[in-house]
Amino acid sequence: MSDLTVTLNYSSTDYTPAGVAQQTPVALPLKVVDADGVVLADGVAISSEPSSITLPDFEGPPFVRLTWPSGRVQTRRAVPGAASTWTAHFDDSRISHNEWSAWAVLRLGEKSTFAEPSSENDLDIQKFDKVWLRLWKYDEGRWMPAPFAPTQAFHNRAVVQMEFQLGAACWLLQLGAARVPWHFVALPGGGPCRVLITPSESTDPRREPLKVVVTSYRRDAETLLEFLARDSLRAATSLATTGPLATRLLEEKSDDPISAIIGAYFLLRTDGWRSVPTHWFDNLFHMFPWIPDPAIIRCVIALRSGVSVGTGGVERAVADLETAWRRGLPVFAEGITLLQEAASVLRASERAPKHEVFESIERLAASEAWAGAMLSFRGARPTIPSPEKQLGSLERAMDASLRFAENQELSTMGSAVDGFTLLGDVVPNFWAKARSSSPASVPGEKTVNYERGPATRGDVEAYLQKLWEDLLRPNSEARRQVDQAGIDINRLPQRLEDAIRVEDAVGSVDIPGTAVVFLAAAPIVKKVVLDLWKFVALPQIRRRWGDSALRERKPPKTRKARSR
Amino acid sequence: MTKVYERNPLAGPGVHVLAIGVGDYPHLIDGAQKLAKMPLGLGQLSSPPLSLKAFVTWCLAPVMKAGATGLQNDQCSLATVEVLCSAKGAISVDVPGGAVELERATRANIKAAFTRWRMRVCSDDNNIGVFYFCGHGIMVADHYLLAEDFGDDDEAPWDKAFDVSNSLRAMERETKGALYFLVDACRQVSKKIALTAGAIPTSLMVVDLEKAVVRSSATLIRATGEGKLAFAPGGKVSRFTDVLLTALSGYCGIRTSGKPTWDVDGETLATAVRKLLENNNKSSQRKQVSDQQIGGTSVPLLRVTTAPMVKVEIDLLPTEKRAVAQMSLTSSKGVKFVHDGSKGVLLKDIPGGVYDVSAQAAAHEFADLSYPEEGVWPPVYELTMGPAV
Repeated sequence: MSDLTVTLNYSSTDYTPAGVAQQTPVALPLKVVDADGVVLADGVAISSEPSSITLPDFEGPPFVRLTWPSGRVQTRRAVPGAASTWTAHFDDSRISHNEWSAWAVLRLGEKSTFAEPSSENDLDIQKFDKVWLRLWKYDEGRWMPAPFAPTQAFHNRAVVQMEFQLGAACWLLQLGAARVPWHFVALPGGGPCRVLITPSESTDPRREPLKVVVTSYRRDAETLLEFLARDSLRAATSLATTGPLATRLLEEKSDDPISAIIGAYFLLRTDGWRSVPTHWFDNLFHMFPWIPDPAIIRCVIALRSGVSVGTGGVERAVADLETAWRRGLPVFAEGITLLQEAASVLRASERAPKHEVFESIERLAASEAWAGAMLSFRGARPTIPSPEKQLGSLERAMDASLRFAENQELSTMGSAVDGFTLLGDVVPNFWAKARSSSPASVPGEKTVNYERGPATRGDVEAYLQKLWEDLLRPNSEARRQVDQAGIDINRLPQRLEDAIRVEDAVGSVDIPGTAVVFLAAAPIVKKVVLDLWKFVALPQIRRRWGDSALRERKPPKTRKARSR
Repeated sequence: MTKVYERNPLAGPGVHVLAIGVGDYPHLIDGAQKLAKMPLGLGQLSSPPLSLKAFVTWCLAPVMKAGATGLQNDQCSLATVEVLCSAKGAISVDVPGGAVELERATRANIKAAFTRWRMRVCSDDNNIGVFYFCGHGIMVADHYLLAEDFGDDDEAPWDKAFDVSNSLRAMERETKGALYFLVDACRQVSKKIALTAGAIPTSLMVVDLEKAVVRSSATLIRATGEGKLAFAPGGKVSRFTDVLLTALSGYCGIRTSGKPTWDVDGETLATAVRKLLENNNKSSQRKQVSDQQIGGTSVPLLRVTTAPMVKVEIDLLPTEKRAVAQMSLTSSKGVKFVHDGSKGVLLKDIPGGVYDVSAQAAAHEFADLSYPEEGVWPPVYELTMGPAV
């Protein structure tokens, strides 16, 4: 017998933005093998502390194989120390990247060029600047667009990374473009969340053009889930049964629903759920009613345990499934697999009541896309998953959204076109160089410059803000004026900042005027916003500040050179 | 009934195989009988009978000839093999007693064979059930497979298909043993068509909700090849079955210290199949990626005494350098494999382990290249040496 100490220094992956209180350490599964590949021991390397592993008798030096969630393997020969001891050290010297994006390298593809320091990749995220993004939140039983407001955004040539602070709810990030199928990726709610987007290097025919990697700073638990998603149960078992993660996953009273759910998913995969008291799963169900995953887990456990027919067991399982569906969508891909398992066996049984949720789940499962451990599926709206690839630019997505709102007769002002953002706008300075032909404007925006006059930029901003607030009130004067002007209020963005921006307009003699920018939007939306400005806002402003307020600035005429 | 093999004596733990291949679909395009009202764009397949025969031959190899590479497991040896096959002509397989002609894979025959197979698998708590299918499949949310007589009844178009996902879920509630479902079926129908066509085939056995899941482990590996060409190149064994049999024939396995055998369980097999398919994709226009679902505890399908081999592919760029290079792999035990770069890329099967990989120029045309302590693990190892790496 001998002892092996394994140390893991992946400090470059430790970067956290301000506002993230703490993150759990990196934990990676390892195998100790002899020269022939015979497994001497399994274990886990943890970035926060050395791991000690007892080895049986063997011949020759031991080798340590460290596996990343991406499938990449690092092999190190252990170094002999004092009597019957060995050491092996792993560091991140082979990872080539920006400090802020290093965390994701472990989860990118097995052959990712980010993990090769000396190789230059030709990935170019700027090619994807027209990709549109939309954030969705499940609120009071409905999926609604949410303001796209990352607290921080980073970029380099190949990567865009955003930090979010998400409330306790189900969240989805939607992406699409003319050549990027419209699809969703779930984001874990209830705290900070980081999203990295980079061109996919995978050769997998199922891949999306962009790879989206998500973390909620639970690095060890998320690593476990990534291995589960790839059916690497041996690695997942090493992680789940060794070190601090093992304790945290099954805490009796957890305030961390995401880690608890990951723990439950692991137990379901490896049949460990049988040795855990039922009340642990019930607690999870009751403590976190804003996530559907605990309801899915409870339903599947009931079905795998065998449900009593005639005493309400089947009905309770169906009710749990319905509850799960009512709570939103699962955070993790494992959730879809289990949803489908439950819906499928219940639907096929003559003993189970028929329920429309079965078909809804089947459609979601048929629309599933691949984003590692996170739930991902294709579609135009969260409520309408689609197995078919839908493609289209920002304008097409907005028009589709409007058409949907019209068909559904949605009366909430503007929700149909809220929250759309272009990837190129997430870090505008980055793309500014690429757009040297029109550096000050985003394609699709329309800017009108006004001379300096009685109404300042601040006056105009304040007026518009109030106008928007008034428009939200059903019987306001503003609503009456809009109706009178024949403007369809349902086509207005819900938030002012999604429709109009007011800024200083600098003229040729540097006297600042006021510029009103009508933001990029579907043509149908932009026309409504322009009509609102022309027929309601501008007349009101001039009525208040005088006719000389906001006189349009004409571009200076150029003189032709006189011929001599 | 086409039980082509039964161990003597049958008692005790064993591997029970049910293998089905469907290449002849009389009611699909170019079939011999009335075309189905909803043929889904599907036609005849040449690969399934060949793939099925290859699979069955591999299973039976050790009982046909002692020591041959095939289904070997000293703790759970091959117990029974039942085979159904639909092809243009009669199909037979060679078994210890001579050639046996196979029964056709109609829905009714498949159902009956599945029931018999279930009873055999459930006869011992340590049994392993292997279900192999090669033919047309449709992946919606669950996976539906088409029997030979698919499309014979326009009033009930899905009657002659079956839900293999729920068939597995039903079996999980019946046997305490391990289950391996190997599904070599492509997804040639769009999910949209399948959904709108109301595809709800029944499973080969109803899931009994009152029964608990009792199986020790379940492995489902799917070919999920998209498109006929990728799936069955030129009337040969399908790409999936080909790599499946390669993986099972000495290109994967894990041995733990103190145990005498290299074991192949569901996870090990699925990983090897995926990597071998990826390796094949390099030379194929149509990419194919397998898909797996593994649950429960590890129960090896194979236990073999020989260490698995690795398909090694080492290149050196630029090719002018390779032409003057001597490439070598030296194991940590000192075993050395040398390759003359003028003969092209180094392609060799070697035992797994840790190797020093290097390249030396014959007349010092370039500085020596060295890659120490490379983990060369089954089933595939690739390295491109040169300045870009």
